[in-house]
Amino acid sequence: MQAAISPPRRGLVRWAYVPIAGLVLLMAVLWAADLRESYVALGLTFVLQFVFMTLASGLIAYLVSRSFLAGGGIGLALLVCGILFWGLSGVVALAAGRGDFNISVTVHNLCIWLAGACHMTGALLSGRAARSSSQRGWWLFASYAATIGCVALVAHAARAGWTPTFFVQGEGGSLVRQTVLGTAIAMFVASAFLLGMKYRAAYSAFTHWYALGLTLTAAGLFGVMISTVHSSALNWTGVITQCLSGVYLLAAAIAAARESRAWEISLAGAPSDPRLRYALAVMFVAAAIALRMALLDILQTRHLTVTFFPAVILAALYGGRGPGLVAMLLSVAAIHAFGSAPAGRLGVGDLADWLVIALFIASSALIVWITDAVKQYQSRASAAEAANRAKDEFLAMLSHELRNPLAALSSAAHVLRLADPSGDAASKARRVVERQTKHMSRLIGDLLDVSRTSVGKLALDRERFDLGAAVAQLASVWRASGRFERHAVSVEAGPAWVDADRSRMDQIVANLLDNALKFTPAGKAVKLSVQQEDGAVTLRVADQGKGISPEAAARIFDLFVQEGPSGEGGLGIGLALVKQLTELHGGSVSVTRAGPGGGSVFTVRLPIAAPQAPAPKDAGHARATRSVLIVEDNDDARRMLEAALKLDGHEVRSAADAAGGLALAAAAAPDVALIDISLPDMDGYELARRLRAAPDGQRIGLVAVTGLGQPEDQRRARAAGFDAHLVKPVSAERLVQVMAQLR
Amino acid sequence: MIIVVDDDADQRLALKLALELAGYAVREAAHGAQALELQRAQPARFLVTDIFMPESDGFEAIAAFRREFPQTRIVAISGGGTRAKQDYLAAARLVGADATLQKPFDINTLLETLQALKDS
Repeated sequence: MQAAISPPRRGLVRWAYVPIAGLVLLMAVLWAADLRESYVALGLTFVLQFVFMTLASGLIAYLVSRSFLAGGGIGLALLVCGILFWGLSGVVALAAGRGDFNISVTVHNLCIWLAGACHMTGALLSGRAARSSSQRGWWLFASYAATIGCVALVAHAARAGWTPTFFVQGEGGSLVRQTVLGTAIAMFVASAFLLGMKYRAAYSAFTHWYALGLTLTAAGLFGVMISTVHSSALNWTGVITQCLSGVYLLAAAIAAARESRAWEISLAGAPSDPRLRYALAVMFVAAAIALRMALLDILQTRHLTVTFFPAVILAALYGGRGPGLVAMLLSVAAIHAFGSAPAGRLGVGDLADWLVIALFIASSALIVWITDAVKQYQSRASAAEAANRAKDEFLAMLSHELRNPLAALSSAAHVLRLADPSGDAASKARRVVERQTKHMSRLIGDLLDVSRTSVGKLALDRERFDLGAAVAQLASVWRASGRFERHAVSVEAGPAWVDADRSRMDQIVANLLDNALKFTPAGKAVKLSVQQEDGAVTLRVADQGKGISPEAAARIFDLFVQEGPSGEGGLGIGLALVKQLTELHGGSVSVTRAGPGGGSVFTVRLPIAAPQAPAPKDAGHARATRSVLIVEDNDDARRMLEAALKLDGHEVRSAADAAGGLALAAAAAPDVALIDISLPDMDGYELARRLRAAPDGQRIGLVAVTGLGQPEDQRRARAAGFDAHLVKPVSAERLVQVMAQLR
Repeated sequence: MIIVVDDDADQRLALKLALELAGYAVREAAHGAQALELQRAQPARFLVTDIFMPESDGFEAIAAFRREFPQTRIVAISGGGTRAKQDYLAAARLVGADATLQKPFDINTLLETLQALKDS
């Protein structure tokens, strides 16, 4: 409400004062002329008040309610009550009075007094800071209930004759009435003044129009107060002035919708709080009942359903299926009450009533169903549009992310071709190649995993292991590679056993760490911790970046979503992958603000597993020199594998095709064979089967080396007799790891 | 003398190594503002700059160089945009780049481009 965005629209605002002055002048003239003719037209009065006061106040109350639910103070809840009192005063007075001017005037004046009191206390308290409360919905509900209860009580009291005489036709108001109305007018003027002070401090079109509306209400009430004859020209002018203030309130509502996002007013967008949606359904039905009661004299027991269809449609439109059906059921009860059953008896009226009710149920259900379908179609269409846009951006980003490492690789290749191989430039270029290929293969791996998990095709290779130890190891590798250089990274990892896929856990930790390092300024701290608590394993990554807003936190794990200015790099898939992988393990991931100074804490919770006794390690065997056979037709790949294995201390022989491989195997009986799956003369699976079938074939360790990394490929490799499966590009570390794992 | 601007250290390094092999003296900057500082300390003949960088981006660098050092020849390189359907290299030309290259590019193409700019 405070948001001061648009400058005052001078022209419109200046003209907005004119009706107030004109109407006050007109009332003065009419009062002086003392015209005593009465023009009774209860129907017209009712329609005017219903449209300009009840409907307008309903809209305003709805907007202010949402603002209150979004975190407004107690002042707003009082404002809601005030608006409701004001909006209900006219129609309830007419319905209660039914032509008895004293009752009408009593009800109207008392409601107006309550409205003024609520407005003034609301305006006085509006500067108060809002206390945080999770019970806002109930407070709001209580405000509505109390207001409607008060109005009903006032109407009942006036009809039962518990109130003193307020008005005598021809003589005017009693002293009681003039006092009540006088104080009400004073309170409206005071509220308008308070709001006016506020908009002077920070211009807001909402407060401006609202203050004008209140001034008009006060002026109209003044006209009503000084008229001695109900429905005289002066009295009518007062009523019309009050109705006009409804127009100003509507202008205030539109201004609020335009100027502040906190109001979140999109008439097409339904409120998300279910309590508000159901409360709206009840309000729509209550309005329909009020309208039907007012039309009782005209319609009597005919056209029972006519006011209830709009209520059901509105409830379904704003609330969805549930509130639509609730509105339908409440309407059925009300229709039944308006039917021709003898007064004081529940039960069947005549058959025609039941038929009407049955048809009403059928068509209402149809309306609810159609409205719901339309709404769902709309939301799906807008979601699809958003997804499409995100995909477009993703593709553009992807091209950027893939071209960048390619550019570095291409430059490095150029250097390696021309520079002295043993020189400094060549060694730097080689390191560029290593880093960029690793970067690219991680990128591609993540991409494939995301697409696999999103179609549910990712199979987990679960084992029980200590996540704390795994995280500590990963962190030490990152530290050794210099990736922690720019930040103060601390690791706190206690024993925490999980039943999980080791490589997927590494991926989760790597993505969270990567994210933390990317968004934390150099020199600041990143904290990584693993522990067991409350029967779960908790992994936390805390950064000192600028933090994530609550709105962004809700979307940050969505695919392709990126925080911060675009161009900062990253594909927006890392966190999505973390979420998918965590959930695949039966865990959950969340993000919270670390503190007022910014920073975020990402928390992954995983089901705990029983610790496993460490398998006896045969350290001597793992490092033993082995005889290794490589069968790979790509010269570069073969030479790379050869070099890496020789460096690890193994004895290496290699062949470029399956025939050569079989010959070497027969001649040298290797301990391990690394086999490329796509060979020119025979596929790798077939070669593996033949090696296994050979006399000494059961003791040979078979490792598939392939560009195919899908789970089906891994299964196929195992079926063919492979012990392990390496996906290209193969890093030296992974190769050494696999060699150590083989028997 | 060439100033190479890229936020990614490896991109910068690889380009620097390749250009040094071709006989150029190369200085590196991680963002546009740093490049401008280097240029003020000792003017370079060429600026080779990436366009998307988190701090001051390539467009700003190009515009600043155009204003302050009209003699410097500017080559903008980019791997595409963060937004679809927008031609950032064309925009770089409008801001004042003398030539543009799409990543990944052949170093020889860059060398030819630099040669052509030198001759013109």
